[in-house]
Amino acid sequence: MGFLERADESAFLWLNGLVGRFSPLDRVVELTVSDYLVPLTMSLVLLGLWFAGHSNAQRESNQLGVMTAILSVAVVNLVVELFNKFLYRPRPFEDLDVNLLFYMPTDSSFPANPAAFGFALALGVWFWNRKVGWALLAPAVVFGLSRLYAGVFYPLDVIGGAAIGAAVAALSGWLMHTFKVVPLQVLRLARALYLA
Amino acid sequence: MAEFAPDYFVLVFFSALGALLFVTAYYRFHGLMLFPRRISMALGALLIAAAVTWFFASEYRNLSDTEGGLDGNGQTLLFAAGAALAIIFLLLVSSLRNRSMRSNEDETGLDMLRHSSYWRLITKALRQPWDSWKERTNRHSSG
Repeated sequence: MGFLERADESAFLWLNGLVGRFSPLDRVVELTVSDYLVPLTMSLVLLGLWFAGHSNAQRESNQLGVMTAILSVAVVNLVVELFNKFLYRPRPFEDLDVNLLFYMPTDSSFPANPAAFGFALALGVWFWNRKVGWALLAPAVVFGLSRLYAGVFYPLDVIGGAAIGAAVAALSGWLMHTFKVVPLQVLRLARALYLA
Repeated sequence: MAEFAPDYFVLVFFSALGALLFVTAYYRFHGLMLFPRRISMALGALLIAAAVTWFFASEYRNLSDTEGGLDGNGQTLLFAAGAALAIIFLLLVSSLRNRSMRSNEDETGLDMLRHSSYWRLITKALRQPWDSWKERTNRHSSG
């Protein structure tokens, strides 16, 4: 076992070892670790962001941010699927004695899908609206850390997922800037229907 | 479809409606508002909190998609459907509620909804090609 893997395992065991020591934290993590809470919260922020902005220019920038985030999430899901086809890392509960606060997923541990999703969405927005982008990073980090604490990912899975999410968001941001005419056409059509 | 699907759809519909009520009131889209501004914002926040509390308190939700939970694709589809329904609901009800509002021709797009209802704007926009066609045919046939 290499140094990195040992460090990864030790960090996991330390963090997961905290489960059961402070039960209010466990209750909170059982909520934040859910498949539904963080994705719903971040999606609702995107919905609100579509209408947000005191000027036309500010709103257009926010709407481009929403479109970049949607593109990032779509692409990152494909990238994670690809990783899962060629790479399988067992989950921590398959090899170690862990305190589980979540069900046992059957797909590969690396890369952590929740971290990839969260970072892709948050950084997709960040390219157009720094303030909201930074704010969205908070639930993205909480989502990844919760899964780690709950015993379903190793730290490197979460870091890897976040890095993939960030890379895909950067690519999506670049695509949106380079081919801005396409999203602008979509906005023009939506504006004609009074929806943008 | 998973057991959670109807519950998740209800959660999305009410929380999306709450988010829309809040944000349209905050940014003063009077044509989309159902209540006075502060009430709309409070009700929007309350609707989100109530929907989330109901969803998580009514049942244990940390189940895999093979045990009744929802997979990522299902969640995405249900979110899109629930949010779309919330938008349509808001456009329809606010159009009824604000039917007496007049449009301001200086604005464009979503900004038009600051002073007019959606129904008034969309019917006017759809009537425009028909009206201009009628005007053109009248001009040609009269002379």
